[in-house]
Amino acid sequence: MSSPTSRIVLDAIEKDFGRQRALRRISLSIEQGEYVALIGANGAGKTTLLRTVAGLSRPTSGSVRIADVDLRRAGPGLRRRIGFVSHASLLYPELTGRENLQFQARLFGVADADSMIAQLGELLDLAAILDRPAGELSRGNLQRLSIARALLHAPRVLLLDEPFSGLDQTTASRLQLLLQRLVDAGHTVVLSTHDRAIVESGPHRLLRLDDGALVEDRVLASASVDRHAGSASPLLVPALRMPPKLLGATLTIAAKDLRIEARTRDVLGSAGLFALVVLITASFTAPVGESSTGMATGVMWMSLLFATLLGVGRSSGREHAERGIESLVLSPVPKAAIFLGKALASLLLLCLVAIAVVLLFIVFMAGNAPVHVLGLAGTVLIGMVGLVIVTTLFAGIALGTRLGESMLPLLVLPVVIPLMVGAVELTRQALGGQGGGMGIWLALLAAFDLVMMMSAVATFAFVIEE
Amino acid sequence: MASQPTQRHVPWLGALSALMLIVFLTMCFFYAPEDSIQGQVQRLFYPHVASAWVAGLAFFTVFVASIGYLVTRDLKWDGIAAASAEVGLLFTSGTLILGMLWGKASWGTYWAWDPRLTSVLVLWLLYLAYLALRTYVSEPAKRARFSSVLGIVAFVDVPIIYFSIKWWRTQHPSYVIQPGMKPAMPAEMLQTLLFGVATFTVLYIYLASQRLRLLRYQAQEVAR
Repeated sequence: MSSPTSRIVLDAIEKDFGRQRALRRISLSIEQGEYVALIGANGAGKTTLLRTVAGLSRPTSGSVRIADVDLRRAGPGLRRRIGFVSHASLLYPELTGRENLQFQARLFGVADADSMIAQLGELLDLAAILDRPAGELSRGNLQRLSIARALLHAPRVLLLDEPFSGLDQTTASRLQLLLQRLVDAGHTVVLSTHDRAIVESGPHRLLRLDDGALVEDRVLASASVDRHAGSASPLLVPALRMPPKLLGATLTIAAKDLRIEARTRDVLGSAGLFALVVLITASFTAPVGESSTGMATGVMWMSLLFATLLGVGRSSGREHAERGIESLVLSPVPKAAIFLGKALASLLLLCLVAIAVVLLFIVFMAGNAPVHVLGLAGTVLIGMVGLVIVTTLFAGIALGTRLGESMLPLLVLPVVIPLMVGAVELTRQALGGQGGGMGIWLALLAAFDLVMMMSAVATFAFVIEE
Repeated sequence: MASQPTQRHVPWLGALSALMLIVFLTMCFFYAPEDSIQGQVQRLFYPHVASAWVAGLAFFTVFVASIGYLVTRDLKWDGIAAASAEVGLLFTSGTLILGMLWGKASWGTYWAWDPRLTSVLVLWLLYLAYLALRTYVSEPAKRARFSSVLGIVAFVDVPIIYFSIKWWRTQHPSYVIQPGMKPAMPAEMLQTLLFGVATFTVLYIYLASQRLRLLRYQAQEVAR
């Protein structure tokens, strides 16, 4: 009897998308070392089933257990046992292949990332593409890189959703050989395909789905099931350390976002330019002087608010371009770190925008009013923290609606009104040189930030699940 | 097939709401004494405060039901949250309109950008956004997840409203009832106010349960 280390057990899985039932009471068990082909017409439920087993899609009812652990309670150890190749590459187009793999290695706690990347480069013939931006790669090359991403931590369970699509004959044959070697080394492989030739050339078992139901489950006559699966020497042996905890994962994700921004400059470019244009335009219409400080601070904060909406919207949109966010969800890092990492990177970038805006604001609109520098700096920092927290949380929701990014202002604006009122009042006081009356407002803004941060950390996991 | 929503409690709850409303209006106009400073217009105070109370109760229910959904993933909780948000928004609108009418008579203006008024307006906008969000997500489980997150975050605004009257200088009247203090009004006024709060609470339960029934019918229709 095989060891339960990577046995997959599905118990009466159902998945509904509104009125459509995508999976209908699917129960099955896949033993360690099995090589399973999943077939069915388009819309039969293959992708949904694989995403459910990968932990990306939560079943409406029923349970998935891997290595006797319920997937809903999966800890970092179980997450590291699963590798998933999706339709989308789950890579960041702005990063090179090597940078993408190094980022994944950090998330999964792969200590010898360079050695693993070199091994995978050889196995999947990646040498020519590793140092090119993923966004410039052809479909086939991107698919190979995506497979390398899924294999980087040598998962015991490998789930592949139509992995051969887009591959030329040579690469497809190479991948078939690789999958067979993984199975020989004891890995469990489940792949979906439409190609009968692939089904007949390796898999031990066939599962056929029809309209969400499992209608066929049989051992393939053509396949000689290797009863000694796992006896071959391991194909990939990464040196694994503990995956990063909350702080380490937060910094890793933030560093990735900053690296992308350094390459594209689209958050700084779009948000910064937008804020400056608003401010400069308003400076021609608003009278300069102490009496107009209140209105001018309102303009300044409105420009920062809309710059934040734009900047965070761009950053979150990037996560959804090639579904990079799913690679984060699949990784063993705490879900809160995904939120905190995204928020930290946005905050650092938008603080740069805020510094430029505030300096210009003082030059163009504040006249000769005395400035309480410390109070102003504190106000801008606390205000931007609050704006970024709320916007980062709601960006995930907005992108999941029919309106997409256009939904973001509708969700964010009512929530941040108290913050905006407080920030404007504090800025007005700071520009009047009055530091004394700022305490209660600062405390209020800090309380707002804290409560929003706690709410966001507690609820973000629900925003990114499917 | 899902069970038919119960209808047993609804007729008598509706009748009770109507009866209590009649008694409440009678108390407002004939039982509570006229205010010596503000005159007849002060009678708006009773439905205004009762509406505000029920709005707070409804949004608290949204908050609790949102947590309930995220913990249990039972769409029943999402239905309760949606029904409460709609009725809460209705009562918040009532609070704002009655407050504006009262403000015009007392302060000489329908609206002042006072923190308390502004905060209630923010609350109204928040739950308008909540209902808007629901219309732009068609998949029930996803709609419930997203709405629950917003339902929790939006409720964070409620304590800010409550404390704003203490923290900020405001034109808004101070609390009429505070723990450990004797109410600053005659007994008849207090009785009318408390009866108004009870009436609007029953009305809220009636309206929310009716809305919940309708939502369940819609869900059953979609499932067919």
